[in-house]
Amino acid sequence: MKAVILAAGEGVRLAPLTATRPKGMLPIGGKPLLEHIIESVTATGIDDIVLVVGHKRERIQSHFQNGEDWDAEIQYVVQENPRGTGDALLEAEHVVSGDCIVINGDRIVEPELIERLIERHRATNQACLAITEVEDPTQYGTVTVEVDRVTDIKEKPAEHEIRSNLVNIGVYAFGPDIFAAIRRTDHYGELRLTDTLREFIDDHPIHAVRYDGMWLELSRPWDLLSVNNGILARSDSVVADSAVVSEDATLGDPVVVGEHSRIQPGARVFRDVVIGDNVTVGANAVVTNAVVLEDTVIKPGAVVTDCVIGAGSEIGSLTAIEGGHSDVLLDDELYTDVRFGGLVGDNVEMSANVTVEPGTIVGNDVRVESGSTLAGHVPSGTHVFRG
Amino acid sequence: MCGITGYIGVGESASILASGLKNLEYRGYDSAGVALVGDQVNVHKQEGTIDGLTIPNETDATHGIGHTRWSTHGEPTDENAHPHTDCSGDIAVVHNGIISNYNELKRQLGGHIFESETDTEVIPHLLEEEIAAGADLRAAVTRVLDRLEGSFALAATHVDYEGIVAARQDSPLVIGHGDDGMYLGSDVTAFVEYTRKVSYLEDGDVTHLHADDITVFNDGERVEREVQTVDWDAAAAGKAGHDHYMHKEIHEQPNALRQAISGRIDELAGNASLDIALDDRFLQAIDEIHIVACGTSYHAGLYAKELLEELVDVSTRVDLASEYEVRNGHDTRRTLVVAVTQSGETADTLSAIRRAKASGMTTLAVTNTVGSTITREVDDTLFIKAGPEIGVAATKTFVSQVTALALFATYLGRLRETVSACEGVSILENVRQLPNAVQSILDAEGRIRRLAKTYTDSDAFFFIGRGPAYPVALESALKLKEISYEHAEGFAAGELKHGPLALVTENTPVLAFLNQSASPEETLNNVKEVESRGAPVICLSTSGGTESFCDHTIEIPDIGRLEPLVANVALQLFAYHVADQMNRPIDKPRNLAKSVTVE
Repeated sequence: MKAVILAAGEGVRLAPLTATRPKGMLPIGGKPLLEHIIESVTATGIDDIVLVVGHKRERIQSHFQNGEDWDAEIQYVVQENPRGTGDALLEAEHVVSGDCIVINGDRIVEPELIERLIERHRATNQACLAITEVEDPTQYGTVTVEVDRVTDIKEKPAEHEIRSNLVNIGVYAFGPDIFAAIRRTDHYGELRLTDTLREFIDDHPIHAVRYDGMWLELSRPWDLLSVNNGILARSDSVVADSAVVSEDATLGDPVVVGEHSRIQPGARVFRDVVIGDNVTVGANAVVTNAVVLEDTVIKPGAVVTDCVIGAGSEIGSLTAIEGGHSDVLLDDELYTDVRFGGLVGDNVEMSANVTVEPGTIVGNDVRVESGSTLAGHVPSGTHVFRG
Repeated sequence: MCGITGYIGVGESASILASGLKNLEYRGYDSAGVALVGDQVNVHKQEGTIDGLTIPNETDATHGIGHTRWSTHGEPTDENAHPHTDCSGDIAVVHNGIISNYNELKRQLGGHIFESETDTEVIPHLLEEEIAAGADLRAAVTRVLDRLEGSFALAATHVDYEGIVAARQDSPLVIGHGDDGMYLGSDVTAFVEYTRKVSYLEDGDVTHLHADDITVFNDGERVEREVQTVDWDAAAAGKAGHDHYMHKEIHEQPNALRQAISGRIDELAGNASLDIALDDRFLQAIDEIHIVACGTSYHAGLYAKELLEELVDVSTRVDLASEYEVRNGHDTRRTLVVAVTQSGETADTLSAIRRAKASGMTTLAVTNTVGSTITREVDDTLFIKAGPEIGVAATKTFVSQVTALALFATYLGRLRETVSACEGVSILENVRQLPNAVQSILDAEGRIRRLAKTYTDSDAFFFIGRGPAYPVALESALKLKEISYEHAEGFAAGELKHGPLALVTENTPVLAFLNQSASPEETLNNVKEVESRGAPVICLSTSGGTESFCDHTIEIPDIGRLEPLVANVALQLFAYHVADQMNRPIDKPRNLAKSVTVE
């Protein structure tokens, strides 16, 4: 059996980080999101993996190569334009002969779920879909189930349409007949896998596999913090052998320090921090509940809290990202009281003494002069002067 | 996505088309069909998979076209399956892609009877009108193309016309040159079991397939499309989804660089931590450095000279290994000979290092290969730690060589007290920024690819730079000529007016490095010289797109002395995409091998 992981999406809600990298390459607990998925797959004994890639796919290919490091054989299939998950799966058709596990590339599940899907599929030889119960299903696809059979699927239902708190996790087991079904699906614009499944139910049974284990999904910037914390909570701190941590620095727990990174004297890296490769944390800087991507420098004395910092950026001396709760407007939707100190994009140059208010989203390639205060959305490429 | 096949020749058209369709099945198969042309045109098509399609063996058919469909306009039905015919049934057409103005064309074709809901069907009817007006099939296709909007590839036959006419506009189309006839396919898989000699059509091409040859026209002019042999056994597996090893290796550079500098930066001391076993007192006392190398490594050596002379205050000469001779005038006990070789097996470099040793000089190898011959012959080795490189065209090893040599220059400078801790920190800071700077160039690949596409058909490419950008100009030109076979030269920017300017025309793009590290204003004057001769100018600059006399600017992150090195990555991508546009065998350029072990 092969596993197909759909990793071609653009992840626009995670902009600006996803302008330069696919969502699946965002770091979760010191490795890319996709690596967690691949490890869950290989833990079940499947070593034949098809990655459907598209947006910024070179990053994925450079990281996973042909899969040797995961004792797997990884094949790449390209979806040139984002045309939905159904279309993405169809791109994999010519390399998948027979049954397959299909996983949306933006969620982490445990191997146990995949094993149970495989078992159920073997026993029934019919399509299987994983479901879990959530409190608020409005952001997901709700699934109506009768005696372990799926009877209806509804994408992002309005409050009054909710007939079930069971939602589709985005992990499936299919036989080869799924491809013909996708091709037959009526669609406008995107061809979503769930559109196919809704029609598929009419003449094929779909088995629901109920799952109550860990399920982490990444869709908004602050999810990056909570998903990281969720993963960190389950593992020990990891400091790469090649990282250089000064004897006079403080490392809390849990933290991850990436390859070739340097933690200078007096720096304090407290809990829930993921530091990428080749990062410098300067003397007396204080970092708490943060994700810092590769090649970034946090200058001496900076305070970095509850936030995500992109690659190749520079957080100036004594700059404060103070963290805390705020209301964030994202994609025309207002999220209230989110714990989110801010998101700083790639290649941002922040001079000394900048204040970043909670909930701020700073684009890529922004230059900020010293003494400025940042709030709200700062578009990519902006040059911010002290006002 | 749909698949097109075609065949003309002495073979059995029906079975050849059927196997082609089967091979293209992955491009979609909700319906399929063929048109076989002999004394008449017989169309066999239906909804469903190719296996469900029965094609009678028509022995009098001399040629035919086939199609496997994935519906875009119109349901998968028998009527909507290709090929489509005109009112008379004499013309048959298969088509892949979309005709965006088909509604309008359909209205203009009042009086014609349409049997399907497809956009394709307008084509045979348009051809019918042109042929009725006296055009032959090729002329008719050429005229109809002018009226079609969209992206597509198509093939057409006419009962009274000898051969198949095919056209390409933004959708792929490949010709196979077989011993028993000519093949047509959306890609090579359509006919790879019959022939591996292929020519790739380009946008705007209209080709006429005869039984033994093809003629190709573009914009009314007869053009030649090179016949290449595809190496279908090349292990695509090792390329991790990239089309070429070179592309894979270009994209590996940020990680390769992080590896290369790992543990080698001591930012607190402002020094490079290198495991150099050569005696400190010797290194402090040397008054001359000789660098010997070949090809790309030689360019890395030239770059290193710029750094060594500035930072270490020691006279440095760089020699092509095959030209290196130790003559008089050197204090051999105070000379360090540095051999730069990726493989550590380069025969010319090994031979040069032996000559150096024989004259009593101390030797250091800078190489990627642990355990290679050169490491056993020299007094000490500095590894560049770039990881294996498979593409013949060196990419990540050049960047890693220069990086290792920059660290060495910092180390020597600190040892000889010509570099202060403060300067050391600033150089090492630039080294530390290198992986991310390279990544930001890779993130801009789309733009560089479009630039390459724009200038692919140029007569020649010239690269100019000054200071450390001069060796990078040489390297960028070498890269382009190695993999594209196009004429490319690198010049010192100031040297242009002393001769090479005569080569500059409006069809020779000039790629200019406006690096901050060496008088960008003067280079800008050189740019004006070429700009006034009408040459297109592509500038590589940290200052953004402000230069009015640059036709295009590729922005380079400002990382001091290493800026030209980052610019080189942009030009690796440029060379790659020029060669890719030309369908060159990028990983295996003709006549070249990865490491040259003969002198």
